[in-house]
Amino acid sequence: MKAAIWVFWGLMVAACIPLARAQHPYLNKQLASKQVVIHRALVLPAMVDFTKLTLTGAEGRYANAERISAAFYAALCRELAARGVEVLPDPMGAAKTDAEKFAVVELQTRYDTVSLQLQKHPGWVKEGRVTLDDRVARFAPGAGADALVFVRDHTVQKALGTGDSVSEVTFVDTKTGEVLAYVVFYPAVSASKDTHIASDLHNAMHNLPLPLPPQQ
Amino acid sequence: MPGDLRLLEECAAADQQFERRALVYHDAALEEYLTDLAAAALPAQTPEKVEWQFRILRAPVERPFALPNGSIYIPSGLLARIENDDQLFGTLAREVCHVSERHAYLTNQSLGRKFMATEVAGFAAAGVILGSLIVNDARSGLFAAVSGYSRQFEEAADRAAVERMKGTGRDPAQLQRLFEIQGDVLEPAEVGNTARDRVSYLKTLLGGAKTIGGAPDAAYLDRLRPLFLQDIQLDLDTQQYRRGVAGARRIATAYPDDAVAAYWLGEAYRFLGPRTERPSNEELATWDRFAARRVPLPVVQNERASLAATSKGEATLKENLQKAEGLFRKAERLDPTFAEPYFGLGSLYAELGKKEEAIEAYRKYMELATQPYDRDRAGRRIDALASTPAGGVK
Repeated sequence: MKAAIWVFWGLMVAACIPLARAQHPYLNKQLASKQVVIHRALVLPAMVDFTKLTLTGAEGRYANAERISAAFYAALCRELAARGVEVLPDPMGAAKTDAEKFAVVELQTRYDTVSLQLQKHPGWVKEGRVTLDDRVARFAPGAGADALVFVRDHTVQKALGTGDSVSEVTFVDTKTGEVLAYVVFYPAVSASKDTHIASDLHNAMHNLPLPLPPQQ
Repeated sequence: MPGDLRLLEECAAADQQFERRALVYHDAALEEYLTDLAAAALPAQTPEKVEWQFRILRAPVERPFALPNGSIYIPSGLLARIENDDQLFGTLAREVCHVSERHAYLTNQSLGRKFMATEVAGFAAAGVILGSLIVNDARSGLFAAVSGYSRQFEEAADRAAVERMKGTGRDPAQLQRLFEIQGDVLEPAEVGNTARDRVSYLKTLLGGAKTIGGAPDAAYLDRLRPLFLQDIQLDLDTQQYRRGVAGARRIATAYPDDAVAAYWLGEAYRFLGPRTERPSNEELATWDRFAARRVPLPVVQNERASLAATSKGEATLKENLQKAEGLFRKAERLDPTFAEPYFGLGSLYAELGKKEEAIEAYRKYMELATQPYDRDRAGRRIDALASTPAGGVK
């Protein structure tokens, strides 16, 4: 009898693992009902936090983070383009003056504050309860876009090839600041994480209503 | 040692990342001022593999840090609380000591040894522990450099800074004064800082139990004014409204005839809304409780509205919005061509349910705003107000 109970709980735990790894695009009802369609998007630089734990401590935190950040940004731009979204130029690359650079930093900071709400209560996205405020409309590089896209990734790569990773891609209305879509997914952690980003992103964004359907 | 070389590589990568993310604030005059100020705090001989760099980080936090390669970062949040050159010098001298005494390397080696033992034990459990997102960054000396060293190293740096201040004719009591300022907690993020403990031993070290009076320096404020304005904005973005008010009040007091300063103080009060300027004892106790458990504070939906629903919150909201209105009106008088106060007034009146006044303020803003996207934003606000029944505006 005891063995049966253990097997039962074992199966329950095993059944929960895929759920925990499932991909969740939380959609604002305006996007879901196609009241809002994202034709043009401005992708903010991906903010990646990467730590590799080895026998002698943590390493590669910053260098790897920058590499993955660039790979993430490029993969997202490609995915969006493939789904019929025009991607505007990287605002950080175009920022020359201090005021322009500060505008990017300020926007990313504001998103990080809102991101805490999203992580705790992603369901609030549906009713448009999560917003960066209409101050986002003052972000000059985003003036021609329908959505600003924020990317965050936190990865810890441990010994024996294990680790944990969570990524989020968030679409924000450039006029109202409302979060239109929050895509959170848990990519596999491997030594060559950046090579998997494109496929992980593709899968995670599969159910996102964009102008073109996902390519097979 | 390979660990030390790796630490140096990490430092170089960290420097690059801060630059790429535009977190480093660049102003040639300010950078020169920092370098000149820090010159007297440097040791006679530059340690091996160190290149002294003094940088300002755009971050609304108060902890400075020094990377072992000699890059010293002073966050804008700390600069906004520092009152004068002596306090800044003391801060720089402390960070220089961390580099010259190789505290990051020592921490790295010590943690590396501990890490090896724990990770070997962890291998056995690796098959069992799945799915936990545990980030134990404390296993890196670089993390210690950024987030704070052991009490022993911090105390050594404080003592070295005091000696350096005495040796260069600066007032070491100003370092104590800075910790007193930092010990005055305004926001949850400041809970758990070691400032109060440090005040205690600095009092003993400096041979007196007295509290040091403030010594604000107008020239210091002049130099850093543009950065302070950015920091106020970051405070509001990170929902550190009390810090925002404190920072904006400092600027508005120093520049009573400046429309921009008056506007930002008004904006800070508007954001502060139903919150008091200082946290209550009850709030402080809650923050302490969460900090002790290392649990983040809960996220409250419509926190502003729920606070304003209490009688105390409602009274505070009214008072703060009155202050904000007065300051926006003052900014308008000081510079009638400055558009921002009108948008502030529009938002404020909308929150109070004064629909007509709000629309009028937004219209005025549209007349003065130079950017089309700013005019569009105000236009959308007017449309939203126009479609809302009177008195029902939020």
